[in-house]
Amino acid sequence: MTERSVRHAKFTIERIYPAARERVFGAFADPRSKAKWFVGPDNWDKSDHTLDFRVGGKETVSGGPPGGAVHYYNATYQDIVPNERIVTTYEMHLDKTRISVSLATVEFKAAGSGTKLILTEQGAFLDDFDKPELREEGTRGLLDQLGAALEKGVV
Amino acid sequence: MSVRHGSFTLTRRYDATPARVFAAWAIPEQRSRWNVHGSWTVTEQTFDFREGGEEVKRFGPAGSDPVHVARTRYADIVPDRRIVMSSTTRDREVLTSVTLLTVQIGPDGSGSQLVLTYQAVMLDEGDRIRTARKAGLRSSPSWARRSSTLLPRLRGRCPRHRGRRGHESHITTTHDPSVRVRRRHLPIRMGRAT
Repeated sequence: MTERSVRHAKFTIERIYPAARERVFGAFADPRSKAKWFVGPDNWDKSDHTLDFRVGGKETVSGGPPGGAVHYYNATYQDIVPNERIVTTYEMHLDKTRISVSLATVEFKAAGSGTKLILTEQGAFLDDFDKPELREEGTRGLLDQLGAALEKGVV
Repeated sequence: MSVRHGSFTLTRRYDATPARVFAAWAIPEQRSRWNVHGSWTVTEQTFDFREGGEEVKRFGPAGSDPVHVARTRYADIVPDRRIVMSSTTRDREVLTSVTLLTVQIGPDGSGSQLVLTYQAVMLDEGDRIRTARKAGLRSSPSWARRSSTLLPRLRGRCPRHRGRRGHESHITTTHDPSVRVRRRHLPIRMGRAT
């Protein structure tokens, strides 16, 4: 019998960015801005990033270490409240193997002159191909990249 | 604007093979017989049970004009073993929740064990409750109630009989502490549907 397992998990990450809420939200909403920070490590091979930012719209990006397995991200936008909230569902594949199905909520709240971002991910991690701890670590890395892009003024 | 994240797990044992339990989800005529609880009614239902397939269900209390619409997309299907799907639920066109639902099925002695894990974000709950009160509606149906009418054509057995010798479960599921596990010990009676 093929071994099948599911690990369900939830994690929450909070960040405060010294940037207006409209700008932080814009870094998610504008395809050119999002492509600047929503990418894998520098040394990875990468695909083009596509984003159709509207309810029902899709987002795709893939990448991986040279010669290694390719990670595919495929998301659907379920809820968008401008400058306040984004809810997506997304799947990750490693080459042709589906490794997770997730529900991700990003909230944007004014914090003084800056923005508090709260990201909550609820996921089903399949057949031990991926771990929630690694996903959380990877997501923290992406939010760090967003912080750096805001600081540099490129988003 | 508000969001609330929640999750729960339900476990059931059925005196039916995993193939039959899976079929009760996969085959439209079979799912139609149990996938609405008690006094509620489904007035529209499309079926597209395949990975990437999308279904629409319009439902609500019997005797009313149903205003709840669930759109489901199947993300992962392993025949006789697993179904992972995401759903949105709208109440009068207003999005009220987005759900990730995992159904795991495995052999359990001569029958099957089913583990259902519900993970969801509830949106703008206060607003939604006020709207519902105005309309005199009850809360939306819960999976706990629905699963009590689950698979009416299968003969089920109380979950407390699980763990008997020879009833080793083959379902591997791990939950983080934030997932509330509900094990109900109701004497679920599942007679033959007429």
